[in-house]
Amino acid sequence: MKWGWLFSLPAMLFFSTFFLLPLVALGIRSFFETTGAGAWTFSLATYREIFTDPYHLGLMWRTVKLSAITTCVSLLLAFPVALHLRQMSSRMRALVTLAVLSPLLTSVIVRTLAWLVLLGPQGTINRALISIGWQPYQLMYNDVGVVIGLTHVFLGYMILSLMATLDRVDDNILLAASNLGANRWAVLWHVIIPLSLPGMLTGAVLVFTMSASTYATPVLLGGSKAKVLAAEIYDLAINYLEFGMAAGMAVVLLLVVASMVFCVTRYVEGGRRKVIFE
Amino acid sequence: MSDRQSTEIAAPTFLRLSGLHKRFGEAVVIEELSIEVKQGEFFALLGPSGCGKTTTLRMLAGFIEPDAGSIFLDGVSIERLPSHRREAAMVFQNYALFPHMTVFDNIAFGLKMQKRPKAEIIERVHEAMRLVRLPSYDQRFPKELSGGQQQRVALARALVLRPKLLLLDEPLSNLDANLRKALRDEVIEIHRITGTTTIFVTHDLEEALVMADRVAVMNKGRVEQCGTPQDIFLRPATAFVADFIGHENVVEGELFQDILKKDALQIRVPINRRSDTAALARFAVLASNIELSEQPLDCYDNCFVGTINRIRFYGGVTRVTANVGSCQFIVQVGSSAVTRRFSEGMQVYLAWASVDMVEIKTDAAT
Repeated sequence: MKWGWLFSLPAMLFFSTFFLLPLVALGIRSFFETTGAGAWTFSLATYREIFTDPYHLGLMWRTVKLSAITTCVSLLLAFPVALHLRQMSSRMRALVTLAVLSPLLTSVIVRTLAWLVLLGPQGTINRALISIGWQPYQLMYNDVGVVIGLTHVFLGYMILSLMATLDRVDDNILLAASNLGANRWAVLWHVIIPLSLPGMLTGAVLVFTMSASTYATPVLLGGSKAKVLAAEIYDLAINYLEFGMAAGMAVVLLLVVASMVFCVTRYVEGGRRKVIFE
Repeated sequence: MSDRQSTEIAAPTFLRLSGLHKRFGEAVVIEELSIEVKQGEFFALLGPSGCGKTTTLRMLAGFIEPDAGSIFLDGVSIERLPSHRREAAMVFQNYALFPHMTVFDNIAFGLKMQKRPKAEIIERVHEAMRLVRLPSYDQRFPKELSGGQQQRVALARALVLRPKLLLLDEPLSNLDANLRKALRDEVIEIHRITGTTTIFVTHDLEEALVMADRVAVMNKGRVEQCGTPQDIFLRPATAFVADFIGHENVVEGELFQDILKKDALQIRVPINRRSDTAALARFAVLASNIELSEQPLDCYDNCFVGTINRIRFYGGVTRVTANVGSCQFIVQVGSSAVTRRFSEGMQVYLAWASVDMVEIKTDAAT
């Protein structure tokens, strides 16, 4: 296998040409300013603007906040599902897995339009609320709509991650806990949750990074009132041709996501947890 | 060790399983199972895989509910009680230690569930660790321990609760032969110290005979025979037990007075088994109770001439297959200078005492 690495060359070449190189270019671009025709100077003005302008800081905060909320909501929704799936027949599991992954198989436009029909000011939910005499509730063009939309798409990743770890938990360990005097809740709290921590973290990293960087769902369900970083980058680059700012924002988004992944990895592999989590 | 087997424990019934039934779908796993165990007894459930012994243990632990029947432990009906309220602590075949907890936390788990004071937990955990001879590996994780040490943690985790009933599910089967023997003696010793009533599931005959005060041999969800190891081994009640115990030399013939006739062979059986009318009967003699010699041996009341057709060397013992008339006998002798003289095709004498003949009742009779 001395020459085995040769087989990975096509993929490596593809990634470095079309992904790594542009990324580096983007990073470099964010540190330069055009001064007059064709002249470039090194400058930190872009970052100064991003980190001092309350508007941009607000966007950053909302992006992180929405991603974090989506992650938490997904975790809370996914955990009972994954736990229940443990006991199901493999046939039922395949069906449920398909069902939770179905949002990913649907076009983002169709999916979002469907949410529009349900959540809109004149949508099914609000009409139902009005018909029973309640006040209509703003479910779209705000943070609520974005979280609902993102959770819908990414919940499947969380369920799959949790399933992967929960499936490896030996039934006898749960029986042992109950045999030693733990009731259902104690088994859940002291055994199941700690043992599914790796799955929770993997799922959280996936959902958080995808939520933070996704574009279409927050734009369509959040509108201009719940704008996120990805939408701002798109606007800057396509509508305002502010490539320097767009590049800077992209770098900031990348750093936010990367630091999150880094922290989780460090946590999982840190100290003696490595022994427990293999 | 041998004298602890002969002492029948004179105590009232502590655990009573009566009329237990369990089916999984179409398959009947436990049928009309009734067992009584005395306080402080070391009781083995012995049988081949699929005989229902593990299901029985799991019903005791509270992991499986019986379809019918009752389980009384210390005078209380427990068959509908959830596992965590039974005080019947189980040691699993694969140990089932909590991988995310240290050795200390594993052993302390049950006491923490009982919300015991911290000082008491520390003291009792260390006491349990000393009992199972576990070095002070408090802060290690199960993965950092050897199989034998993991087994000790599992034992300590159960014993620390001072349970009414200790359930052992083939606890030694995942260990290598030497360690198994060492731990076997230690488990006996721990039982002697704690006096905990113990139910032990195994498919290993020797393990059951060496360790248990009494043994129940199970087959197809029923108890075939229940008794002391000597009872089981020397007086198998059914053909299944005789076969499971390893009675290889079964002779079926016509019994008249104290002679069992099989073709030309006339074998003397114990006088108290005599029959005054000719009847079909089956008797067995243990391979290790037959003596093999180049000369006739008059000190035995059964002595026949035969031909060796196979010799197998097993280390400490040598097993010889010999034909006597129309029958084939397996003889187990200690490997020695004498046995080295035997060779295949050689003519030898097989001799044994009539009192070593064990009658095997046909299953229909029981």
